Amino acid sequence: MRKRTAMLSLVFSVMSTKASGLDLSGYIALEERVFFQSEQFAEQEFGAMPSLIVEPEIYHSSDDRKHSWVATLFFHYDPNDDERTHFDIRQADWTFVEGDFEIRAGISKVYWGVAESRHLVDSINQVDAVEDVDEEDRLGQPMLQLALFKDWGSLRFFYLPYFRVRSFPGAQGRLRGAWVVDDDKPAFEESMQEWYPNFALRYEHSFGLWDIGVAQFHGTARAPVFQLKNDHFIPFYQTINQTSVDAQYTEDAWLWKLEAIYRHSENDEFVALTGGFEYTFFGINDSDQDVSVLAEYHYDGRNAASPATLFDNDFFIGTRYVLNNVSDTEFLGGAVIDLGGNGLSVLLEASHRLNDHLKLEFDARLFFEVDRSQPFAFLNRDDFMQLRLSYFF
Amino acid sequence: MKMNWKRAGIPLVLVISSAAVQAEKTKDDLITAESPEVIGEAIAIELDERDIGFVSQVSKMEMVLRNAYGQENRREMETRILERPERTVGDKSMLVFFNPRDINGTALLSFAEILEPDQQWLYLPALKRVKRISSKNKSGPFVGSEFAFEDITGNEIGKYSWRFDGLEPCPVMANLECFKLTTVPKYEHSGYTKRIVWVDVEEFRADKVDYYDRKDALIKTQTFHSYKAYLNKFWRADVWKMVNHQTGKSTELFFKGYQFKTGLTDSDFSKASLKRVR
Repeated sequence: MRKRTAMLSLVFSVMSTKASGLDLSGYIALEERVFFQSEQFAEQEFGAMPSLIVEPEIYHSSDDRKHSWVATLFFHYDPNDDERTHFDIRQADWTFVEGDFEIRAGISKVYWGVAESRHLVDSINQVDAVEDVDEEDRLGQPMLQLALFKDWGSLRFFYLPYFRVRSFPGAQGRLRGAWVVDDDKPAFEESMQEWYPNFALRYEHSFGLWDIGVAQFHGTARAPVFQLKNDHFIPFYQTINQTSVDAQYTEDAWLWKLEAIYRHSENDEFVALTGGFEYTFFGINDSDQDVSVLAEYHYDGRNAASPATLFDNDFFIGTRYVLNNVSDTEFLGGAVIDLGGNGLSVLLEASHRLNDHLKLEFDARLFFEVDRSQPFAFLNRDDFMQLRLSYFF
Repeated sequence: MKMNWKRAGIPLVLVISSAAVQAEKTKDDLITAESPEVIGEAIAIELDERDIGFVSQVSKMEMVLRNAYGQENRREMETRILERPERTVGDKSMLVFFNPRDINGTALLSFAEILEPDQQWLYLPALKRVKRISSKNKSGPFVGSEFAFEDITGNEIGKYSWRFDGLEPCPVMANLECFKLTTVPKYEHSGYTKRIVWVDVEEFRADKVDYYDRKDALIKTQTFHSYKAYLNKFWRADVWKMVNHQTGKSTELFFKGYQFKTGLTDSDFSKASLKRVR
């Protein structure tokens, strides 16, 4: 064993200059977000809103690659919204690997799930809700992770000692309701508040064409309910127990996907699920280009005591168009349709690499005919488009 | 991702017959009175036998993509391969991208099979997401290059039928004689009807490959350059060139820092290892 370790460390130190040094990477981006409908509330802005994002990352690993350290910082400067201007430590952790055992400690990011249009089971990291409405941007989460990798699958235990509250747009920001969320004064079901310890356990394995994940979470719900107080919304964070399953069946050009949760809280008990497929037509018309069709159905059985969701009974249909060219040009378009007749949202995304360091991305989100009585009716006038130019280093 | 040509999935009877004779076979041993198909398969097995035992392999790969106007794009990645001793499966491989910088840290894990579809997972570092992907896309371009996925991952010899077409001077390597072989893919979704392969008779190194598209027209030519023997046994080319005759585009691969028997194990080729792959 010792001999093998020595040889491995020799190999890697010869092979990689990165292994012994500090590896700096990341990006700096200019973003122009345009709201093309007039504002609903007096303090809000209208029109083009430029902002600046920086996300540097430093990586270091020991010569034997058993220890590694990552630090990723994130800063977004938005002159139009003080709340959207924010700093976050996305990651600052240490990982130790020995055989089939892994420890990770510090601020980390974890991703669970398989679906594209809703991230139902992904519940470790808090959503960075001022970044985008797709819930793909997440805040760094302090944690201790212990993992075991065996023939029968991997098992990960999570201890989350501190809760990160969700960030919300400020008074000047768009994509908000009539009441500004006062995220500096959150309320909690637990008296320990942010320090109430959260725990999770997750099992993952691949069985032939199946990839399966099963998880149990106990702790603070990532999304709050809102209490109106002095013309402000106070976020109230409930305590939940949640069991989740996610599965993907990959055969031929089909990806079949399912995510499901059973959640129990003091005032609610419900099941929610997301299920669907992605089918790809590879090399259409004898070209290098691929076209995929995506369809996902969403059901959510929560009652009004739980945090509101857009996905109570909705259907997502979309298409992805990948050129497979040197610029990795890609388009994604889709719509989430409320089957109860309570509106429609449309998303368009495109990305194109300009050169080794520059990348251009376009996003648009449009909200149509959201019923005024619905919790997300405020989005009706917040259609936006954004262009982002990123320099990667 | 297979960066060499080797065995797997050979009919059992042939495996036993070749395993019974440990010594390396020569041109004269292989060119018998048997049919061209039997000779072809025997050559493929010998090619393969000579590459057994590298255990694991790591190398850096630089890719230069050129379009018909001479404009260049570059990719940089690291390739890691774990030899799987079972003959019924292909190798495991990990590909980690460093350049272009927007895909820095992106990684592709593949478990190659023989006639079954490969298993592949993609790691997206920005989301920390591991995504199982369809491996049906064998004939599509690999990261925008002139190499298709199957040109890089598909060289297990059990994936093809082999036919010996005679001896010819090697097209690339000077003053050497080559076996000329016609190989036809046996797996589904290949973009080719056949490949013509030249392999030198001394060390069984691939010298040149002509690829024929679904209309049986010559579409691409691959050549191998600057071979070196590692551990006195494992021949690897420093440069692979692929020219597309139909578009005028070309791609060159430059391999650096080959390492063998690196100590990598199955745990370095798992879904979990994708998250700490750098």
